[in-house]
Amino acid sequence: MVSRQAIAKTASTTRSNAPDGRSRCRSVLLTLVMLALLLGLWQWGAQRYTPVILPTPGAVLVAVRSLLGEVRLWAAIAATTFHVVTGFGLALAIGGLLGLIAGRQPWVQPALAPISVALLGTPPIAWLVLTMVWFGLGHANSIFTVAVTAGPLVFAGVADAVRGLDPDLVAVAQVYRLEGNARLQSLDWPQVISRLLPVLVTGLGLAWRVAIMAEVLATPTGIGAELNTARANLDTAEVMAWIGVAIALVLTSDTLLRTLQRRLLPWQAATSSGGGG
Amino acid sequence: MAPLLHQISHHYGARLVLEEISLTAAPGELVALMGPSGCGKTTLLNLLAGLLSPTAGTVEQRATPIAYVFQEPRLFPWYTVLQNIALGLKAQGMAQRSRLQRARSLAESVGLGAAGHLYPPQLSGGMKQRVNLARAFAIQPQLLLLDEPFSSVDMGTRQQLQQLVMTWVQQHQTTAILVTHDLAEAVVMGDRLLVLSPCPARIVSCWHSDRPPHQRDPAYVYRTLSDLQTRPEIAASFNLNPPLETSRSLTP
Repeated sequence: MVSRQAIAKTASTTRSNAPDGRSRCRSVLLTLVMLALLLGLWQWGAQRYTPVILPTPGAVLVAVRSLLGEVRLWAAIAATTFHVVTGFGLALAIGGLLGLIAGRQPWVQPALAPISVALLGTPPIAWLVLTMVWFGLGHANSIFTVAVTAGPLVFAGVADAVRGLDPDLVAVAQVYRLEGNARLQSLDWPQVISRLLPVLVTGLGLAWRVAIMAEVLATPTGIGAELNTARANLDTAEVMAWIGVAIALVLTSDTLLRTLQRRLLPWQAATSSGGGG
Repeated sequence: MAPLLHQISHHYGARLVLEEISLTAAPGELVALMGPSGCGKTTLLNLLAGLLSPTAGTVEQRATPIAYVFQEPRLFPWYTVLQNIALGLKAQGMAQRSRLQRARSLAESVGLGAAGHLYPPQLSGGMKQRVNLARAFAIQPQLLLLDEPFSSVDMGTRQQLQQLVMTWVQQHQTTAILVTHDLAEAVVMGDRLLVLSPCPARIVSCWHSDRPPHQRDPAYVYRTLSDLQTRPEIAASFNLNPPLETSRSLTP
């Protein structure tokens, strides 16, 4: 018999690794102190330079509050979200499909590898220059640049996830006659999703940054375009307010995806905390 | 006696690993297989499990279902203890509620009653191996294959798990094939012991236990061990040195 104490000890390894109330309080306090220090430094710097170079935190806060009451904030968020969702959706569809084929057919991976490496190695700004030539100025620039930047990441992630089915677990499935839908639910899907979700988190973070960069240079709508307008007006407080909006958007999307990850992959928390002996 | 393998030979590429091996076993019988490392014992189990096809000969076992207790637990990391135990039942199409209920009762019987909600990374090696066993028991196999299942657990856990398997085989009249490196384990658990030669493996020795499992006390085990170790075909198979003269002179 394994004693209840032994099981409790093994299981509590997970809990003891989780921050308890006191250490959580300490980390929140540290974060607040760091934030206060940063704001103090910013305020000190702002008093030494003109508002065009560095506006005060207060001025940026006023700009944010003023943006919150304006329709263009929500229009810009909608436009950027549209670019990211469409571009990343295309990356998922095309990269995912090719990755699936490459994972299943061993000869496809070497055939597509040079293209994947070339796409991964091309800086997003180079794509942007090309899209300006190909599409002029418009939504297509952002969408295409996001798709072509995130696509190879998705391709490599899906191909690895599909190809990397653990042969030991496949043998277990064979012996216990786990077939069809039961096998898909119990073996293929959990294994693929556990490898894929971290790639998607990284890919989506990249997609937001690339979309905003593309909007600054080549798209007349979105947060990037608003950033560009504020820069042209020498309204640095508003530029910083838009940067704040962009950070909030990326953080929101990242938090949502990580929450989804925790829900879909509850065992990963157990894996990361270890245990056993 | 049901036939399991008939004149099986198996190659990996050009290398012959098993040569004309035939195997039979009766319900409720535990056959222990021993042989030097790399001689093809696991290959033999894989052939019985249908994970490999022999290059010659026929696999004649028709048992269903078959359970395989692998050397490493091979638990699904995304499943809890109960879900892992219930894996084979899920494959059989049993409803979730019923299969988890049976898994709970099996978890109790292997000493994991309080650990049903844990994930594999939260378990110790011994606990994982208990889940591995319970997963096999869950489908009430006709043929139970065990590949060195206790090699990585401590002495106490090993003894408990050995008892669990022996009791299960007796109670459910399961045919069990146990691959082990431990002669003492083979003597304690095996109703029959087959010794394989180095690669290519052939059966070079067969020994029948004359006692039922519950009567194999330590004195019987030690006596049998010393008897088996002096058999020339077993000594040759494991490349054992002859007993040292000095050890005799040290004996009071």
